[in-house]
Amino acid sequence: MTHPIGAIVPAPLLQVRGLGLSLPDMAKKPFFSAAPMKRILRDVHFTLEAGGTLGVIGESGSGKSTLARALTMLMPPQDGALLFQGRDVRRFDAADMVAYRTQVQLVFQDPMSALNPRRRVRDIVSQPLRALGRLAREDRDGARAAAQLLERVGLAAQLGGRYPHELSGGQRQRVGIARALALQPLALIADEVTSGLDVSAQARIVALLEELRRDNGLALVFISHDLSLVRSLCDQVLILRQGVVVEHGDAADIFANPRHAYTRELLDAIPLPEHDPGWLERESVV
Amino acid sequence: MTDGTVATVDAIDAIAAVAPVLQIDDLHVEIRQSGRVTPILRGVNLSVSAGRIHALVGESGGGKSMVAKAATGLLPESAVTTRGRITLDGQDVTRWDEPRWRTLRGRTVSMVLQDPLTALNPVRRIGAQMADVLRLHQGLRGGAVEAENLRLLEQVQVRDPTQVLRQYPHQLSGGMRQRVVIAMAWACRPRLIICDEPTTALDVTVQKQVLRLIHKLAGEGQGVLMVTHDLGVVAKLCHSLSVIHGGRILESGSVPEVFAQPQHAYTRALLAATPRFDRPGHTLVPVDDGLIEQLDAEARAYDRSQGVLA
Amino acid sequence: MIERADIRLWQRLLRNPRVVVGGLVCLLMLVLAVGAPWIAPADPQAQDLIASFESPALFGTPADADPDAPRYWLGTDNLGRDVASRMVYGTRIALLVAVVAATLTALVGSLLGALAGFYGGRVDALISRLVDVWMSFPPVLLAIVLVSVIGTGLWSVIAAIVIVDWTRFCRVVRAETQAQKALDYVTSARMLGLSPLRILASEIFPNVAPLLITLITLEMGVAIVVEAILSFVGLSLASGTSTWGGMIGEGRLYVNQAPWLMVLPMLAMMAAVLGLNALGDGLRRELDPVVRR
Repeated sequence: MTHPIGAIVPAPLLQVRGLGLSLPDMAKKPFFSAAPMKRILRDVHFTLEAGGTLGVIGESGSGKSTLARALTMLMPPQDGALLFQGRDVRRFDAADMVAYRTQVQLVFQDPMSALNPRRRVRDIVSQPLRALGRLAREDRDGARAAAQLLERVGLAAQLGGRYPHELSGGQRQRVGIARALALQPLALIADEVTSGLDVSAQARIVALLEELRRDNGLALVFISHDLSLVRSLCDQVLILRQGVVVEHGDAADIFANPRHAYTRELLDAIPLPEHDPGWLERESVV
Repeated sequence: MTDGTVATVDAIDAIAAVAPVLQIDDLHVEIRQSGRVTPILRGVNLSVSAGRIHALVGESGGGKSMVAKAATGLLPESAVTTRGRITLDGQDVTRWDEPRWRTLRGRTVSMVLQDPLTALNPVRRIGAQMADVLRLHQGLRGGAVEAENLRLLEQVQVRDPTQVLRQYPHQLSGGMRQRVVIAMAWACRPRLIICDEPTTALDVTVQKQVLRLIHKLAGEGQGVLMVTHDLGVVAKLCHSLSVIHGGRILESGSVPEVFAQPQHAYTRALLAATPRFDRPGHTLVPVDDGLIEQLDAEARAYDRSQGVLA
Repeated sequence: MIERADIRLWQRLLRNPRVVVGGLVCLLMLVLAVGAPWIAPADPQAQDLIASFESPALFGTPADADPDAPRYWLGTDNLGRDVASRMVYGTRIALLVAVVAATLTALVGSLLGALAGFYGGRVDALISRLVDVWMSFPPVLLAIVLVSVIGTGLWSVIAAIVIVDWTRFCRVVRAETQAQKALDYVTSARMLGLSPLRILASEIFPNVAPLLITLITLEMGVAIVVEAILSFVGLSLASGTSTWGGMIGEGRLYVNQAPWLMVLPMLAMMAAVLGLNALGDGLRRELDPVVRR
């Protein structure tokens, strides 16, 4: 990408270069020594601009959830570079890290464990504000902030008084997103936030994310195994297979002309909602 | 349509001379608990014929799991069947008690559930669990059990059956576990196999293989009731479908017809909310709240017309 | 801000039979313990050798009894002491031991358990090994040895219970803390930069609390029984003081002629333990938002 000389180019929001992560393989641990390291992610590259959307597609064992944790430094990567607005995240000190994590928020997959089951929704949603001391003086318990956040994600403010298990799966996910929005992040990393949801609830979440992107300029890393959902939401797509990036690029391009055999296999395996008697027996052309 | 239900005649079933393996007529089920009455099935009509795969499509809370439970006699204690009939393989099982149901389960009707990890006993080997089914329902003993186990696993396309029989559930992949569960469900050639979201937890490539397997089973003469919320699976695998919401069947018919021309607004709404990677311009439209409210109001009106105090 | 939900909470509590029955038993115990000097009909230590082994007046008095003599509603023991008064004073000891011992045990055990569960690594290794070694001593023997060494007395009994039983809380709280820590909501809290202590207190504790409620009431029951065992073997309080265990121990000798001496305190103990367990179970059911639907 070329720029006129002298133009100030804002650094992309997130830059990932050659990211690699290994974890100890406890299954192969010998009795008296440390467990051998198992490669979960290898050589991952991508760039996320402000307001951009990246879809990360992978099946189980692909390392996509590990990538989410690596990006937020929950599991620090051993190799490669992770740059946030041009700065090296791996060199951040504690204060920088807190700031980083307020600006890049992680939304978890399983809303049952992602929300404290014994706290009311409004306390869950306002917790980040309380933790960082950002509540307005008139709003000591965060109720007003919580109401605003709930409304932002399309939930009635009254739901604030409920407990997580009293909400539907789709509602719980939206609570998770509301909490992530509390600190006004620049980017959301959504780790399988639509799994286990009904078609309609999924559509609602996708619509919400799209809206947040449009209205707030929120960048999005959308991790999913559902290619169709990724297609409807993301401009850029990254396909992971066993920790390795198999395909990466513009979404429209990849879906129209998949280059890698694995991508073609994935596309062929997706049942589209239209009658096609020959689909079952058709093998993907490898 | 005076009561708002749309029904397209399923030509295939009408032609089939064989009586359906599962016939549900006008089923009304209520939950009675702590003095409150909640209708959960409101006049459900459904039939599944031998060799055919019928889908029951809906969102959570719509009643589809309840229908599956009713067809296997697993409705909760608090559920009361107030009207209607369930006919399983020619027998009226509507008000059967537990001992009688036990004679049917496994032999005439079996179930494949969503999560194979919890469906299988984690502390017993696969071979032992499969053997249980065979010993109980077919009275096989000794060497015959082992032989049948191997045969069943081959039927579900498990590549190394001898090895798998010796393993524990957690040592197998999700797809493999689901195959084992299907093998167990199929062991006694039940007339009806009910699959409740069998592929939701699986990777999409594995899902295709499992769907292929289910299709093959239907080809052997089993009737399959496929409970799912995934319209893609319905379109590719099933012969016919019923759309359920609020315990009412809103639309039913053959798959080619319904997908080509969905009649009910809810069916259309579900299709509009289903993502499609082959249509770049297709925006996902969540099901309209107004439509849901209207359907709920219709359900309440129906309850009142039935004299149900909710 | 008191919500309608909180008012409804009290209504619900009062409707739960376990809470009501257990609560009444505990309330009764509390009243008896606190009001012992006023409620007990006689001085529990007062001996009247002439009136020894009087059968409980509850079961009827012999026709030829002296109408001026004091009525002993629950009879007297071998030294003519009023059983009813002894039982009432015994409630004091039982309740005191139950509450104090259970609370201290819970505090010590839960604290160590939470630290072990949350920090893991060396902290966990150290505490777990400690628990393992500690638990390898037979509990009752440990208590007896302890009291023999420290000497008898109320505080020795309490110390013995705490020292023996803290491991139970430690193990359970450690396991539950570990389980909760693995959940994503704790990860979210950590990512906000909250300190471990704050996470333990405000995030994890509410999820461990239901378990603790049950354990504490169970522990109270255990404390009452342990005190009784120690009294039975004469290692509890001074023999003059009325304790249920002591009464059982002494009553054992006269079980053929005056069975009520042993039976009555046993019934009292059973009622106390059952009441505590019922209350604990009922409270857990009503207070835990996840359990009640």
